[in-house]
Amino acid sequence: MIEVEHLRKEYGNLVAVRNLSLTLDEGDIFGFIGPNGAGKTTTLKMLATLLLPTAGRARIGGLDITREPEKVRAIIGYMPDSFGVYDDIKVWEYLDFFAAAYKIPHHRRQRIVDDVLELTDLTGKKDVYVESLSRGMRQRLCLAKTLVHDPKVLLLDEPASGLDPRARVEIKELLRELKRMGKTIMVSSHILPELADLCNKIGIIEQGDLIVSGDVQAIVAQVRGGRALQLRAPEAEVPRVLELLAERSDVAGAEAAAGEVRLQFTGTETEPADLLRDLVLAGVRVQAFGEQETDLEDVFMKVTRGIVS
Amino acid sequence: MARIFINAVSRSLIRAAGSVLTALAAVARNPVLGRELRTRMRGSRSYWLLFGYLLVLCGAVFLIFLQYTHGAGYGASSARGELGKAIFYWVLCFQALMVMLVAPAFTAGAFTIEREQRTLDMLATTRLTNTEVAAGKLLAAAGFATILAFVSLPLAALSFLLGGISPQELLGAYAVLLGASLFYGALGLLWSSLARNTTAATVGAYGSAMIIYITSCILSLASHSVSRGSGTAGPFTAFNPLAAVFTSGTSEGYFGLYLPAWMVGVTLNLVLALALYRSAAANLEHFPERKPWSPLVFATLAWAFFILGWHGSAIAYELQRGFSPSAGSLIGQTSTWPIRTLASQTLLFLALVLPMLSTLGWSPASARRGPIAATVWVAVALGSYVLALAQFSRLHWGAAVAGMLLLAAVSWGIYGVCVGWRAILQYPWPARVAGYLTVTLLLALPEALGSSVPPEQPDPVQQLYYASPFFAIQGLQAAGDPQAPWAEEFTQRRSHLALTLLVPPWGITSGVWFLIGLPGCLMSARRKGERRASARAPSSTLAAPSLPHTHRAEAAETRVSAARPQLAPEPPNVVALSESRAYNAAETTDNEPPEARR
Ligand SMILES: Nc1ncnc2c1ncn2[C@@H]1O[C@H](COP(=O)(O)OP(=O)(O)OP(=O)(O)O)[C@@H](O)[C@H]1O
Ligand SMILES: [Mg+2]
Repeated sequence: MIEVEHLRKEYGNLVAVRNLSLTLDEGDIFGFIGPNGAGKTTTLKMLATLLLPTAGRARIGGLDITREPEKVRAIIGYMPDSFGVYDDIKVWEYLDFFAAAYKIPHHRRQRIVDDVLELTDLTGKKDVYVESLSRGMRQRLCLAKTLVHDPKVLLLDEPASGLDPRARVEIKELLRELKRMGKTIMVSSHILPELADLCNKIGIIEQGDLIVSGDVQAIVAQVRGGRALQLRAPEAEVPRVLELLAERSDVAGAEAAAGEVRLQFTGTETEPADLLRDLVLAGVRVQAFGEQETDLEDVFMKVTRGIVS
Repeated sequence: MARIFINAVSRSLIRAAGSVLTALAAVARNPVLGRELRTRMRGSRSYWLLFGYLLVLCGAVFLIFLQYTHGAGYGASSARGELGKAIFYWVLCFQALMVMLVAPAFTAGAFTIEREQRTLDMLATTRLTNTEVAAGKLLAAAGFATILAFVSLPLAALSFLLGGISPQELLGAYAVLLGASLFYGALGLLWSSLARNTTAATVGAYGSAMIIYITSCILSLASHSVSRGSGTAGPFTAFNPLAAVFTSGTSEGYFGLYLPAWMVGVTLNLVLALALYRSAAANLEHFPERKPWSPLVFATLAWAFFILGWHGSAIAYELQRGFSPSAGSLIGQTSTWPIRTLASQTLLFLALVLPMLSTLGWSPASARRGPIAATVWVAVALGSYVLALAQFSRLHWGAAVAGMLLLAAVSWGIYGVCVGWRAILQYPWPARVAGYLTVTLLLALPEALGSSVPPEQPDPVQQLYYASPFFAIQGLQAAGDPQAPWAEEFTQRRSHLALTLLVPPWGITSGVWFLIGLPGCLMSARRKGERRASARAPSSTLAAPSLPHTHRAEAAETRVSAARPQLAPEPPNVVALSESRAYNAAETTDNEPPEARR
């Protein structure tokens, strides 16, 4: 759905985005993570046909963003990181305006406006003036606005910034709903856990470099040098477990904490089962065994270390 | 009582006008126009504005009325006519002033406010094109001006009822008023597309509007009073809405054709408004317009003014003499057409327009192609014009073609000089100044130095004449018409020039000007090449951390770009991309060095 090849953007001497390549398939939710000034907004703006890349190319739905920006605009919905609203305009008029701007015929607009209001939970605010909405509502309104033309691809630049935890959860719920609708979503954030359970792919960008990108699990595995497993056993048997693990060649390291053992597993897909079998056969009473929860914060710190200085 | 009445009337009028315009907007299906009108008509602000406006007008009319009824001899139809005239002049002059004050104010913020409140990005990603957005903004402003005009129509009609004013004068003045509101609105729009903030846009819009307004008013009124006896005024006396109040009843002659002055005024206002609004649209940062035709509009306009202003009378004279162009006139016959004057003026035109065109960054996405396209266009237009004139003046076709080649070479030379300065100086304005100075020197110096030597006397300084296109043109004319007064002088000078017996002077001059333009063009081409190279070179000096690649089944689609090879192959379209300038708001200002624009 989105193919980016060697994308580059310079502002004068500053290289904001350097040789960025990535591919997203239909239905992917891509979390775009990076600290302030990393180049997230710049990348999203280029994909949203608002900024001309210095070099490289990108295609959305098979359409080149620099050659056919008009067609690209018809299939993307872009939500800027900071945006304003017009004065003296009501919520439904605002949405109707954008629907008209996307060339949706007059007779269909009414339905669409109602639908997106429903989806973003703003139905009650239909006749309210836009400038009187709270920040969270405006954020939702902006999201509603990006949905009026039923885009296949959503480019959302920090949709949850500046919101309270409750509003964040609401936005996340909304994104899940959109995911169910089969949209391809690219969402940026500098808060990692926010995206962890939402995205199936992430990319971490730092100073214009896409340091790492791909499947969430795969990245975690890569950074750790294997897959992170976790098992629980009775307190008394933990030293024995560690002993057993230390003997194995497919375990890179293991540590124990409060009855839990975390280990780095370097074997193949099916071998964790072998590990479990061996442990049980060795007489260990394994209470729980499974993949460790992905801790993106950890990944992030690990990946970006040494670059910032 | 009267106030309440006026209040109610104006309120309902506004309502009616508002709904009419909203309906029109729906018909036009321009969402920007619809939204602007809807939000502008909302609330009491615009209502109070209109009310105050009407109150001032009514007060003025009332005062005039008092003054006239207290004077002697009221009652005679001639006196009533006087009163009608006075009301008409006052009401329309007031409105003509208001147009200049109101229209730029409405449009100067059109884009800057959207930039400031951060709504332009969202508007840009919709399927609206920049021309649609600009049209919506302009029509909304003009719509409000239309309401202002409509509101005052009953008052002005009063003068019509009293007599002394013809319906043509009244309607003509109103038509010019509307045309001018579009023109000054488009002027504000252009500034809004260029400026960084609303204050700058407003200052620029008012400054330029004031200058245009005052000069055009003075010129038109002067021309009108001069020609009062003859019945026909000079050209474009009704361009200015204030002058149009007085000239809307007169007619203007163009090449033997007599047109009502107001019609010409309205047309000119509309054409200029169209050009200004198109360039405003092209200046918007977000929308990569494929066809850079706003520089073409600029070039066309400059050209049209040039033809009408400088050659109009000559063409009219020729038309009046009624010569009939025929195929035979292409070969050999000569006429008294002042080809030298024409070609010299054309050269001056080139010297004026080209340095500006070649250093301007027009539409952001077409920054590189725009000036070149416009320059080529100017050259082609000039060439065909000169050719057509040569046809009309029965100049030898060889002379015409030679003249064209000469003009093309000079265009190339001027273009090269300016582009070269642009490549050296990097900032556009110093480059323009340097370009103008160099071009002036190149055109004037050989002529001045050469003519400081008497023609009979052989002098090496005379060789400088080779560099003077004016001299080459003189030669062209002399070749066609040996009886021309300057032909003798040309022949004398020519006898002292070394090469002219082998190669005609125009050929040498063309070569000289081609050489003049060459270094600049090469330099700018090299700079472009450097830019491409720098965009292609891998500038990633920071070592990316190398992550171990694990190849698992589901990781097949995972792309890890961390351990990139140092020489990542660039895609083929890198050249096209690095050539076109970025179109971000912060980057499009004229006064940044070109480096900052990429
Ligand atoms: N218009 C501009 N002109 C010059 N430099 C710019 C411009 N816009 C962004 N930059 C620079 O480009 C770099 C990347 O900026 P960008 O806005 O993409 O970062 P970001 O990842 O979105 O950061 P944040 O998390 O703060 O939103 C920054 O160093 C910034 O200073
Ligand atoms: Mg950002």
